Amino acid sequence: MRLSGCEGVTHEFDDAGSPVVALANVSLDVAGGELVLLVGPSGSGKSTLLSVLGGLMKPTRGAAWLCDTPLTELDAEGRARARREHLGFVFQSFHLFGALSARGNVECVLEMKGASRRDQVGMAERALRQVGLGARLDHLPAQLSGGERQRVALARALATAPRVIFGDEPTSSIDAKSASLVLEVLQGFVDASRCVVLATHDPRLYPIATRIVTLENGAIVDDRAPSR
Amino acid sequence: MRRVALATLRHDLVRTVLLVAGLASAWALVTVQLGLRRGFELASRGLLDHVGGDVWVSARGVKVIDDAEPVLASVLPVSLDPCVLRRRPLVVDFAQVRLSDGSLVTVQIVGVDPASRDRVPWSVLAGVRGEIDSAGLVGIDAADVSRLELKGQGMGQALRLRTGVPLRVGVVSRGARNFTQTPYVFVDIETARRVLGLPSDGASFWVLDLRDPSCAAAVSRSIQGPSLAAPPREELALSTTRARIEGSGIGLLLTVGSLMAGAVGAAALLQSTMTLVRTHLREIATIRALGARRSELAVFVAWQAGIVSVLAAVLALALASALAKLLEGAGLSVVVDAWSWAVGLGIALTSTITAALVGARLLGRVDPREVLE
Repeated sequence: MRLSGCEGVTHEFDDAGSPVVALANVSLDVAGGELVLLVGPSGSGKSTLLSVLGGLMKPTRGAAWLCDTPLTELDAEGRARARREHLGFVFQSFHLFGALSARGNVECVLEMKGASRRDQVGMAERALRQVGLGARLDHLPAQLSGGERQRVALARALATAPRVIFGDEPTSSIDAKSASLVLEVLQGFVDASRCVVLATHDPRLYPIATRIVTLENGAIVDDRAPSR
Repeated sequence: MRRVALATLRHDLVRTVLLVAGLASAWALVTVQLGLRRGFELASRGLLDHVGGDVWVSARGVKVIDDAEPVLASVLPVSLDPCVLRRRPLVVDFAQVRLSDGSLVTVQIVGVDPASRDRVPWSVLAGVRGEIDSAGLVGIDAADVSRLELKGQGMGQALRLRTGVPLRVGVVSRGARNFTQTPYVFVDIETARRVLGLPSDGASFWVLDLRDPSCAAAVSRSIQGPSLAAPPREELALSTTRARIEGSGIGLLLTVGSLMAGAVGAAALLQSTMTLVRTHLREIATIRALGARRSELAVFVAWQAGIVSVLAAVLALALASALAKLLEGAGLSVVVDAWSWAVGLGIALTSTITAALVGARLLGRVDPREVLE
């Protein structure tokens, strides 16, 4: 199964009358067992590439897929279905529902996936214990530290048992201890049938990566295994 | 999504409470204004409905029940249509009651003959309707007791007409009131003629009871002429209501007031839905990025609008009842009947559905890329 990737992807948009090339003929294939870091300066195209790979947007040209699903051939609802079935997301600013407890935030995505109420409770608890928040199940995001909030977001991504997890700067807003726990969980997630793709500036992530892809001006300029 | 909607409402408690209170006030105002309009409608045609009859004969040009010139029995056709079972004279005209300080209060004399005595006055609170007689025993409404300077319920007390005719209260009703709030004084037909100086065969209206109501049109045609009008009762009731409610401007005022209150409620609900989308843009974009369908986002906003609307409707019900009682205490009749509730419910439902649809449309446009910094 082709887990995640794209071929010949170009994305252009208009910025106040000036054409901007966000991605220029980018091709990438991420296989099971890989933990890929997308690195590069701000504006290099990391987030745009993550959006294309995650089916959040359609590029101007080229193809993208997720678990053999051709994302670029689907409409917005079709891509949403593909994300729901195969994908977990972790974001820099967590984006948790402030009105829901840690448990509620995780149960929410399980409900979207069609899990029964009983399963939602069990699976949410399991995912939160996996990220070390077994004692904070009923706390609201406002009652949690930044690191704990990111762990709730990670539990939310893990709970639906996705094949692929995407992260956008998942460790840049949290303390070293929480970052290390997040990395440990992400590392543990990767196996022969699952992969992780992270857009990051954080050098703390380099040691756990199996592959580092560098972007500049919307193009891949380097794609290699990290030096150990 | 129902749990998320509920939790969000609970979390934004102050906003929710203010929204529910605002919406309930708007909807209560809609209901009460419609109820007032309905109350005015019923008051303007109340006498007609209670006297009954099928055809009302009057002088030509009469459009309103309390604005009729007297018609003598001798002016009526010698032989009425065989469909006519009987004719009842009714006097409706203004007189004045003198108060203790010498000032005058205008009242409306309603003179009924024995055949109408079992119908007028209606809603009797004290006394016996049949006791209104030629000896000057009269009926008044409880709401007018203090205005006529009577004590207690007014029973047995004297009314001094400007013309000097002595009257005494023998019957008190509750809610037998005119649209104009002019006190009714229900009297025997002979007393009415004496008080108002009418000929002994004069009446403002001759009310015809028919053997078969379906011959009303034919009877009307056979009577109406250059000096007489003979509309079916419903026609006179409609023209009276139209003249009173629309002619006075009160109907337009209350209708516009209701519509404006309804519009304010709808705008509040809509504004709240848009604020919800703006406030929770990132969370909504996140669940969209995690694969939420557009329909699930629509369910989220529909639950919010629905919960707020149900709470507001319950509160509006209580507020409208309290307001209606308050206004009734001031002598205004608020008729909150099935029609008022149906219109109120229609406005509430339309507002809720509009807000939910607009909210769902807004949510559907949220770009999941919002979640990426």
